[in-house]
Amino acid sequence: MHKNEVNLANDETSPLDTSPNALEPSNAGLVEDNYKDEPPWFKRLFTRFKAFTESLQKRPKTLLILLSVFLLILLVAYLFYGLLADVFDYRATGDEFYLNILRFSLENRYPTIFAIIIVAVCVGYSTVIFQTVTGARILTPGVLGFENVYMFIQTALVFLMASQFVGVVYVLEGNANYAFSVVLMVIFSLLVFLPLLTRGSKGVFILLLVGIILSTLFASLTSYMMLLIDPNDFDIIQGRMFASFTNPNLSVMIGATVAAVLAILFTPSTRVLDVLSLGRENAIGLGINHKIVVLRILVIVSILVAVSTVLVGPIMFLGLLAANLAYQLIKNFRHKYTIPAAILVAAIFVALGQFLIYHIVTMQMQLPVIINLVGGVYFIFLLLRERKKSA
Amino acid sequence: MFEIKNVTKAYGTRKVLDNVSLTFPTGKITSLVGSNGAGKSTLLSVMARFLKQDSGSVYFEGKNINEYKNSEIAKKVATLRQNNTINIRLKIRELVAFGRFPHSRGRLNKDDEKIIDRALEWLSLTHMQNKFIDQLSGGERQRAFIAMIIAQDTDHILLDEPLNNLDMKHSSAIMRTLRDFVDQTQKTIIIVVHDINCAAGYSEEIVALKDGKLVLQAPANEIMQESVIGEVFDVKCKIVETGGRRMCVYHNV
Repeated sequence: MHKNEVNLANDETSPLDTSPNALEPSNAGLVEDNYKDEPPWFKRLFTRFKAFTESLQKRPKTLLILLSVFLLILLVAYLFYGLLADVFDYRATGDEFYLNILRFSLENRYPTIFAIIIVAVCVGYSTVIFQTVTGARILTPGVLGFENVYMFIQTALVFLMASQFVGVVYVLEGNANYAFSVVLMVIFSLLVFLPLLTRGSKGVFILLLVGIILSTLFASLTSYMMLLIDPNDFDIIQGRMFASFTNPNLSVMIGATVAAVLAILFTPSTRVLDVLSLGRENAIGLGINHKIVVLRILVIVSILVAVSTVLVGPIMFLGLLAANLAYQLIKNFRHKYTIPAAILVAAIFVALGQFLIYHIVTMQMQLPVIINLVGGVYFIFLLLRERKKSA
Repeated sequence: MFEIKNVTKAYGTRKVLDNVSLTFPTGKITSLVGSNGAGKSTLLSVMARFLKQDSGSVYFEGKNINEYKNSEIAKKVATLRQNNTINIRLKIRELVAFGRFPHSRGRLNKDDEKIIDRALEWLSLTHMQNKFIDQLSGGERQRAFIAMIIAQDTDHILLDEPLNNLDMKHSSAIMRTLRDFVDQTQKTIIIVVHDINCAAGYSEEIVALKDGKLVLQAPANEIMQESVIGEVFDVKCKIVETGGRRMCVYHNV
């Protein structure tokens, strides 16, 4: 054992260390020769940038602050883009007209900011804790097709009730409909998640299989009902289908916020989550009541997913993108860093996309299209990298 | 003190544990031996609450283990399972610090840090405590996990095949460490091992299982007889005595 120690201690220094003095001058000469003519500016910039990011990884708090500042700038830019002229004009002329434009534009834009923040919190938070429980980094509640269940519930409600009892649908508007959908989604997800509770990470494959099959089933049932439905009733569904960040479902905003906050308050502490990421057996050995904690987390995940789906509709790949980019940025396993990082990355991504769509291409595109395009490509990249790792 | 009473566990129709009853001694190393599929790991998993038995019960210090709170029993029993793969990236010291979780719930104080230091010292990991787990060799990784178990500072330690995939040098070093640890601290270690010579060389007590049934519980030197080992493992073997110790030769006999 002792010999081993000595060897390892030596390994840490360079193997060329046998005669450091003899080697040094020639080495120095080599380096100088290489850099005699200046390296191109972009190369220098790149090395400097790399050193900067590496130093940031040792200080996750600074990284989080930088991300928040960046997000704040984006959100402010989104709010006031193209309105500065009106502010100046109002100050110069004192004409109420400019003030009204300003007020009107801001009233149009601030719900988006609200939606971005709530959705980013829901998606970032739920994806990270879900991945901790499953131990799989390419799995997200979105990929499992939770959103299909939401659409199924909405369509089934209209399909079953609209034709006979028109009143019922209108009763089931807003918060009531929302609460009803959340409860159904929680029940569904618990059924799908059951194998995880008893088998730990071995249940992931079953979960994936059951999830994909069920989500396809729900998607086809939904489109079948849509075919049969009265066109007037279909309007109601369409309204719920195409909720977006530009036009979030404001009637449920307060209920959604309350549900999300309650759910997050109910999660186990980040320190317990850290232990969970060691796997089921280690967590049990360290005194965690695995079954109860996992059940709690899965209920919370389904509430959060339901909240974000109700607010802005399905965005399949956002969680995957946010969580994995956050892990890569933070390079620290502790949830007190990875969760806020994932939330910030999700918010930055949506804010960037929304800025692009609302201000630059002026609604020629839909945000989920962009996010799913980028997220899908990233998903393939992750799959390839995982395969390389295991090979 | 662990007491197993009539524990049965079946997968489908195959009984992996068949009405096993025994009492483990304290303050000693007890080896669980038997051929593949004899039920050693299953028994340990039941004791560690990873698996639920179909019938029978496990008592710890006179109380059924199901009546303990998880957080309570984690201060008394530490378990290392087989094949530890972790898919998060963390340093040796951070892993060992997890061993303090049952006591500090993740908020480490000075005493915790001292206990972590001592656990690292026991496994000779102090000089490399800032290395990442995924950069370690199999032996170093196993040592890191054992250090976590030792940092948990429990009176009872359950180890499920900690010598799996380790070469002679590393497995003997780990067993030596465990032996010294028990001699100095009087803690109880229950360990699943494959190699009968290893079990006899380092432990006081041997428990042998065969086809899910308890076939033998005896002091280590008593099991080292050709007839006994032949029955437990279904092999032809020869016992040779060298340096006052009995060794079992079973290759090409």
